[in-house]
Amino acid sequence: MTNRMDLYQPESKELAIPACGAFVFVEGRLCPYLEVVEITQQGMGGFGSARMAWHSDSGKLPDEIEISKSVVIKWIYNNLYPAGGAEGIVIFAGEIERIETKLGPDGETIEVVARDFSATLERITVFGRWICDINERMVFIEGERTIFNESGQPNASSEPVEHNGNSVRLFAANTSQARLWDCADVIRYLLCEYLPAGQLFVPEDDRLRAIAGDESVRDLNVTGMSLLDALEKCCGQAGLEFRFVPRLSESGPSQGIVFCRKGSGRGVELNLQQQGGRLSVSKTNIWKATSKRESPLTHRYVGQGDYKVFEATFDLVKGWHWQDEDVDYEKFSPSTNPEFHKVRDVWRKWCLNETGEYTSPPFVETPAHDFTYVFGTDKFAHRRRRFWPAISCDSQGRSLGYFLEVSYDDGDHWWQYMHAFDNLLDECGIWLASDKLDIDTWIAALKGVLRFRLTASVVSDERLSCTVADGPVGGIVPVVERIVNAGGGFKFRKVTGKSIFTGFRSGLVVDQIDTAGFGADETDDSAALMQFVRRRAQADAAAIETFDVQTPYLAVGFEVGDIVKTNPEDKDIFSARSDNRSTSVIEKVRMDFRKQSTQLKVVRKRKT
Amino acid sequence: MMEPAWLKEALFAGQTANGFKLGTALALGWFWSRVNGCRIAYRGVSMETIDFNDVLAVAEADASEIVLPDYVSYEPGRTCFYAVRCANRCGRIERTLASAVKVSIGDEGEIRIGGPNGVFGLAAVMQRNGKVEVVWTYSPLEQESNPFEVRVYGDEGTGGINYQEPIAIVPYKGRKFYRCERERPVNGRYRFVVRAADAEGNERESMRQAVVEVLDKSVEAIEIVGVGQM
Repeated sequence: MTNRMDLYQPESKELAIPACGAFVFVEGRLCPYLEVVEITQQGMGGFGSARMAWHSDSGKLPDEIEISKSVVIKWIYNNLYPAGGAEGIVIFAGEIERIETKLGPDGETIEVVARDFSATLERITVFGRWICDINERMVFIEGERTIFNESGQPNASSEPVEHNGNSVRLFAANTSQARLWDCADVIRYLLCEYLPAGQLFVPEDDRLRAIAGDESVRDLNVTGMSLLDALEKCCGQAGLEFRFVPRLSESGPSQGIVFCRKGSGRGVELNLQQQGGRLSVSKTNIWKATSKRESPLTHRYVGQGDYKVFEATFDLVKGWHWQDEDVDYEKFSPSTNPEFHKVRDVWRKWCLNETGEYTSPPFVETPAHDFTYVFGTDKFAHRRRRFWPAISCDSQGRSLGYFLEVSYDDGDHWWQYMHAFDNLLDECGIWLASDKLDIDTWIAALKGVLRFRLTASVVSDERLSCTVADGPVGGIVPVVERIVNAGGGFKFRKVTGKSIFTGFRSGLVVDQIDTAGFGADETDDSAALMQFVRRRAQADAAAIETFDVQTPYLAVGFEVGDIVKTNPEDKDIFSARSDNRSTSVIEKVRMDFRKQSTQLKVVRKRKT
Repeated sequence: MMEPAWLKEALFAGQTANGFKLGTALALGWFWSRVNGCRIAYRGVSMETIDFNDVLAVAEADASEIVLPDYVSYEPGRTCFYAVRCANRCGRIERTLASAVKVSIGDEGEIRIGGPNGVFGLAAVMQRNGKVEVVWTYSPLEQESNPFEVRVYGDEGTGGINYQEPIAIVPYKGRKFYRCERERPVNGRYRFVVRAADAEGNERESMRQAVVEVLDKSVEAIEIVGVGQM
């Protein structure tokens, strides 16, 4: 099934086309004093506006023309064809945004500028969260930041709820039962929760989902943004565009918001007959055209997500001066030695030595820790890090934390260390925190066979990354690299083979721990990051050529997003036939009612 | 590609009226016999109800007129819409409504000429000076006759509009905005209908009304007597 409609227009052999006019209605009432000067339509970043000139003998604006009054511009068409008739069809709907007055040698001119619903959305600020609490109680928490799928973790309610007459998904109170927000959910949440009902026609959920798909957003932070910017940010992640259109329905809101996927516009023809042919307004709708061709460049988008995190079991080394060692048991306890702080690290501080600061005397000479076997690459710096909780988790999905093991026989056997210890925050290491060291540890220390190892995770110096190019790489075309910081939503967390918990998932029993049901919170968002960067490359595709086209008559049928095509018999000024790797799209439509002409900005971009 | 209607019809329904008119009945629907193409006329009581499955008449591709069959009746007071579509030499029929005409039969069997277009943007406004202003404009878009004057009808607050006697007649002076002021009437709801008429008095029977509510006195602004804190 298709919703496509083919319209065939008969050839017009007349060269004279009557001038077209439009009528302005303010608050639903015909306003004879306002003359339409121009109507401009743009996509995201500009949207629609109309400029009208005030003509009256009195020179004073009437009361009904005020800021924020509704304005509708109608175009006359024959509604009784083939008989004669005149009826208006709405070509612009909006509100008066500002009134401009100019005093000059030509007298006083007053112009009224109206904007579509984008002006209203700009004035609404997004903050807080509507949360679906237990028993479907809904509560608005103002202090919460509006972040959808924060850090890539789901935080949407599991089921949509009826709120303010709309079926929308809210934030979940309990993240353990949450699901991921997808783009359609976010759009409906923003439009239904921050916009009073009945002001704007919002697409139904199934229609929106048919365009947006089930693609989820990642770490979408819109706190403090205007509602318009929040929608743009959300749609930017999903590769969508939106614009505001007047509705033809008599009932309901006068404007609607329309979403579409980029590059999926309808095809329209812009034709210019070959030289020497007889001019026909049916075959030529280009009066003037100028183009600017940019030098060809390839943009290579380097997407960067979070730093990669690896879990491994790390052997720890002594982190104290060996001269401070002693056999006095009482000396190394804070409760029995008032000057414990002088020897607080002896027997107690065990480090990874990732910077090499424990390599030279007076420390025991051990080489700086080499992370190559953990990170899988030698691209790391010997700088201070810290241990983070293990990625491996128990049967309830909770991290196993910092798993410290001790050996009393120089590494032949290992036992879980059951006494208190602290994880150091300024370097990779632990500190035994019990008041007095246990006897087994003390004796092994005196024997010189005491060893510790810790299973935890470490953040590497390498970020999750991917590369997408929008043109040839390695040829004569210059390549410009663009860094896309994808934020914290894209993660890479892996349990390496050097972790003792690697065997847990195969059901092994380690240190008398029953590992049945154990797992790992491993994540690899490489594919999602690639899709994110590809979308970004699509959205930011550089223009190969920019055209400014002017039609010989006022054409109202063009829309932003239309894909320009040409008749095979006419001039191929948009290279639509000669270059099948690029596409020309209308990005701006300006209807000039005084010049009776429509100006189009057409941009030719490479297909991605 | 969708199959032409004539192909299905002649193949499965045999020798139909459409088949005879298009010539496909000769080949039992297997072939399109009009190799030069043709023009096909259809009819309906409105543009939306033209029956494009019922061929009214067929003419050659270069014909400038189509003679309709004798059984097509024209009762007095009836209005019909006719559309003509072209078929190419392969039997593909265009799908436009570009060639269409409306025929209205008068009470005496003559072709009735429609009046000027209806007015556009009709509105009635209560002015500050107490007068009622009726505003409209006129578009001559494909009008059937030139307007000569514009007649304003009203109900004078009774609810029934008297279409026999206009309450005002405004001469038509081109494509511009028109207004008509009425002296302040007594309280009530007043309805106005505005129709353009040509020199012969033909007018488009538009029923679109402009309604204005007349109050004895305007609603007074609320006076703030004081501001306090809760």
